Amino acid sequence: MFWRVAWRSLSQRKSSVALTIAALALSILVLVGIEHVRQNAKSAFARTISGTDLIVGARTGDINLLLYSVFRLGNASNNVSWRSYQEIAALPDVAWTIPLSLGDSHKGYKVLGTNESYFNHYRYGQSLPLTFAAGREFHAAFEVVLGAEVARRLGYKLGDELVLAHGTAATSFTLHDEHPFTVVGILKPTGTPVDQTLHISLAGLEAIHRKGAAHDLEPESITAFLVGLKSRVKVFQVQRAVSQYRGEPLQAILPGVVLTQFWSSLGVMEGTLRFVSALVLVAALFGMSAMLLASMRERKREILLLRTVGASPWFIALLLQLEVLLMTTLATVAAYAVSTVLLTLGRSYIVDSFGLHISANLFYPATGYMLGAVYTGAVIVGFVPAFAAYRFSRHPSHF
Amino acid sequence: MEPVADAISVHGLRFAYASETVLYIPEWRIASGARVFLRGASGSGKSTLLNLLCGMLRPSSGELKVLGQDLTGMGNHARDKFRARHLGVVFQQFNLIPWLTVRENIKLAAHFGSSRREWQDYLVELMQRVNLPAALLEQKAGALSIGQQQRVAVVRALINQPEILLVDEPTSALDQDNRDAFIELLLRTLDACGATLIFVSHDRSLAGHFSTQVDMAELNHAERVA
Repeated sequence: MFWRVAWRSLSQRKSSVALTIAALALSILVLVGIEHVRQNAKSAFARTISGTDLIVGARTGDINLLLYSVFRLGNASNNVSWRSYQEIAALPDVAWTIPLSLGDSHKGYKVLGTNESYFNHYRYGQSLPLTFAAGREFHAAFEVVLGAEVARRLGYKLGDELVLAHGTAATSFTLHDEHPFTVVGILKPTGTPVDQTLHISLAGLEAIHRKGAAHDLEPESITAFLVGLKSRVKVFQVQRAVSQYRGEPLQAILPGVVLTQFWSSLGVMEGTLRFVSALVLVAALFGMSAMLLASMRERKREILLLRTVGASPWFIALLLQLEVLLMTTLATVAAYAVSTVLLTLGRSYIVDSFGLHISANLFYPATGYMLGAVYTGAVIVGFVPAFAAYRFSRHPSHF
Repeated sequence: MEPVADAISVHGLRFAYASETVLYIPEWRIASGARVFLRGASGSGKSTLLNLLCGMLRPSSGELKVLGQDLTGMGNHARDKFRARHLGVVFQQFNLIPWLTVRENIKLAAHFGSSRREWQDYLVELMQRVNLPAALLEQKAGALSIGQQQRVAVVRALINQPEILLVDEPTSALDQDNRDAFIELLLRTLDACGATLIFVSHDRSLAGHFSTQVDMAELNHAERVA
């Protein structure tokens, strides 16, 4: 009954209530949306690489090395010579290495030159290996293995031929069109940048850059390489060995540590975003409070009537809080509906642009706490009109 | 409720607003079942008296017994409950929440009065007595004519079978024909309920309908005290 009275009272003020709800919904959308993307980005980043003890590249920033080697973001300032790679790979503590050579692309997707150990040793998520949806790994120079997203978006099947472009722009004028590659394998989706990558052998990469004979296709240099150790205990020892390597200035990073550094470096931005979205919420809540307060004038008669039939001032105050709760609930539902639609529509864009898989599920503890905060804030600002109504109810001018 | 001789009994009732006594009634009694015509200009303390009678205001001092119960010593919540249960009130106008249906308006009153009896049946009965079709119950109160609204207000006021009905200038928004018809209807409906009626008006032509007449100017001794 009282919900009904509150509901009817709101539908009495349709346009101002609708605007208030819209403002509130928008602020909840921002708040929950930012939190959701943040959480998802964080876990997507964290699950991109696992099982790798060190990443080795030319000396540059830790985060820079991590970003270009694993996330294919940005470019390497320098390469690692093939000789250095082989010497470090031969260290007694090293169990395996995965060479990474970047720089070419295909229709906007990055091309990675590597070798078979990529398929044997690369791990993501909870130590998951790469698996094939179709086909096999590459053996010959002009064979390519596609990430799931590349195959899906560009519609490639096994046996298709494709041409790589020099550089990483989506529209490169320098095509390596004298050397088409044949699709021999398609990987299953991983939710990591692997899905957006075309994998070829180092020999194949060398072949398209070097004119002439396809013999001796050993590269001169690679971009970086991943290292797995026989024992994790040796990780700092090997890291030191790399940084003291005489051949050229190199560095080795621990991916987990640098990921954490990376997130803490984003901490200020995260904090700012949260703060701004909290301010937006507070503004919307103030708007709701002001709207209810402004409605008090036209409500006085209703309050008087309710008091006459026996409603206590507390009941009147409660009625206003019920309206606050109703509006907040409607705003929450609207915000969730809109963000679900936005996520569904925007997911593939985010995957293509950033390689991040954002879940469409908005219901989990963190957003629950956010909503808890929204409701708490709503009830707190609701006290302003509720108290005004209460005070008026104490001594309404009757008769 | 045990039967009491007096619906209202007042002894040395004083109400002060900002340390100025606006109402002082040394002695006043209204017998149960009386039909009182209360006349008074604005500023005569009439509004204050009505607010006190229905427990919206608490007396500053003195004794105010309604149906044998002393409202002076009653807490806020108890007075709200008391009003809901034992008093029906009809205002000059705006008696109903316009955006609720007639039935919802009455349901609110029934709720706060914790109506023991099957009020839905009683509602149908009251609607018949005030000559309103039952179909009106599902209409928005705001869609009714003023005359209809005033009659629904009577139904609303009586739904909890109150012992006292306070009616404040209920006819001022009605034309002459409707005015007489409304009073006839009100009195007829009351005859069936047996409630005490306090009818406030400045229209002396209506006085003939009532058994007792009270003039605020005589009742309120506030001027003489101050």
